[in-house]
Amino acid sequence: MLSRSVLRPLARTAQPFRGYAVLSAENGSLKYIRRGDQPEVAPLSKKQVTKTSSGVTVASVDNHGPVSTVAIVINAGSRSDSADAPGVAHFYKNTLIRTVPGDTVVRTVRETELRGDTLYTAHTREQVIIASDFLRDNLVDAVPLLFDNLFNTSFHAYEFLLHRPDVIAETASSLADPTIKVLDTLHQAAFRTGLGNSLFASASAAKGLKRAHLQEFAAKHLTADRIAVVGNGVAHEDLKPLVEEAVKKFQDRIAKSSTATKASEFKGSEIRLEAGPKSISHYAVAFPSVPFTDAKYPAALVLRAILDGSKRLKWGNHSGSAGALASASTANTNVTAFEAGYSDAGLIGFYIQGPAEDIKGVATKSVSALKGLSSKISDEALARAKKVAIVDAEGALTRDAQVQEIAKQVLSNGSILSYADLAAAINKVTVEDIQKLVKTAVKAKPAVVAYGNLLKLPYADELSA
Amino acid sequence: MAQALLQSVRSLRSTDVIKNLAEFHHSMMGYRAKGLRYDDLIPEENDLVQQALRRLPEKEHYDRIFRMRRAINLSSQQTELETKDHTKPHEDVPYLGPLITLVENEIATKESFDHLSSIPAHLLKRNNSTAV
Repeated sequence: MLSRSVLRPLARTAQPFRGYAVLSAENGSLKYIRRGDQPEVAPLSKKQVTKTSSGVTVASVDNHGPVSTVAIVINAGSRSDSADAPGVAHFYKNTLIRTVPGDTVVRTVRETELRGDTLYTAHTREQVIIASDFLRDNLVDAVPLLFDNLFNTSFHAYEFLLHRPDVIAETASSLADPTIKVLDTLHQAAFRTGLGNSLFASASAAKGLKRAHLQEFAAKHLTADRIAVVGNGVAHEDLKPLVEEAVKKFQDRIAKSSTATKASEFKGSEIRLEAGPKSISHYAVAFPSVPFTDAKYPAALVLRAILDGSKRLKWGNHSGSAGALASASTANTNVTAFEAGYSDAGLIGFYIQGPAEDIKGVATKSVSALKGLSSKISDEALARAKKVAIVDAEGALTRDAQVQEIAKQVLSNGSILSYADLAAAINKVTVEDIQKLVKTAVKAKPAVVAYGNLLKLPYADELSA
Repeated sequence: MAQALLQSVRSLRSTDVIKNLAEFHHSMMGYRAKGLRYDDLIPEENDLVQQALRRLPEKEHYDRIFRMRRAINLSSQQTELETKDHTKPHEDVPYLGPLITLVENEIATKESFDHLSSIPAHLLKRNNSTAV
């Protein structure tokens, strides 16, 4: 048994005693003032919109972060599909990355991977997008990459045939989800053509398309006034010269004038989709709302938030308890509100999921809950809804959604509405704005989609009874 | 200087003398008398050309098979087509050669990327984006 003095290390007795810095009041956090590398506020983002000499819009929002996204956005989506060639936008988006003459598609893909950048294409009802995410310094490579692929005129037959099964598979897997299928069909019920065109190319549509259809789509819509180059996290003075150089290289392929898109018209009708007697029912009802270009658009966002209280907490009532639609739901049903804003039309409505027996009651009560808002909206509901609208608007802004949002605004009214501006606009929404919106909405015959056991689901004219 | 010499030799290809000589040689080869194209003669019993053939449009594939069957038939009968039915020079297009080159390039690109041991020089040059 050794004595305590031997166990204590020798060094300890030789050096002076050191206290722990964190416990010393001298070095405590209250007294320590940090200077230098820590900014006191987050850097403000800079936004700028200009046009190149040929009319192509260049927009950038610089949040001073390390990651950038650059997207070339064409203002033509599934809305621009013609009746003879449905599904063109979907197919076109899938075939945007092909062999560039003098190069191979293998090099395009492998070099982008080697750099650690992403390269992707997307399409919506009103846009086709080709974009790349990268660290700031790779901007010099990203811009030419996107332009070379978008304005590539070489199109081999095997490249077309190679992508056709992918298009068909994408459609099948997307439409296998009932929610996506119902919302896609809802647009058809609401707008018939244009915005009512399906977002996806069905198998028969895809098999009926040829390269000529895709090239016609490109020729018709790759015009200077329909192209926007959007940069998120790039400096405008870096982006603009690169875009000017690229546009000059392809200026014979960018037409000047463009064809106008046919205006959308909301005409409510009903579409019913059979899903078998034992399926969960989905029932969507949509009323006309305002386009995102309208000054009253924030009121639509607030209206959706007043109606919908779901998905804010992990626990509790599926349909939320604070939303106006909560009173309409039952224990087994899930009622949510949705809104959609396009450049010349909008939708606002509710979506019910649950057993077929409950749908009629829930739908009828939801319609009357919506109509009831035109007479009474409490101050607490409005205040809560504004907060919800602001939080949800920010939450929806993923990297690719941000770029789409910037492009949407820049292509429709030439300026960028930042998230802070949107929040300010939402805060200014009044009860009158919302009630006016509700009155216009419920005056129209709604667009209804019923999915499930059609023998049990109500028809549209049974809802207001 | 070697590049300049190579350029001048290559530019000879576009002179009329060489073009006429090439035409004469192709017609002397005899494949046109059997109704074939030059690209029909490319040996196809290897993976590279098989991949290129997979990329051939359906109509071209069908026509190729027709030409080969007709040529085999003529060869077995020890005859040739009438002069008016020989392949015309403007029909003798290289429909398969460019596809083979494309496939070759793709394979070569893939292998070069698979066997990279250092960052290529053109990727080392970087933009110094505007400072924050």
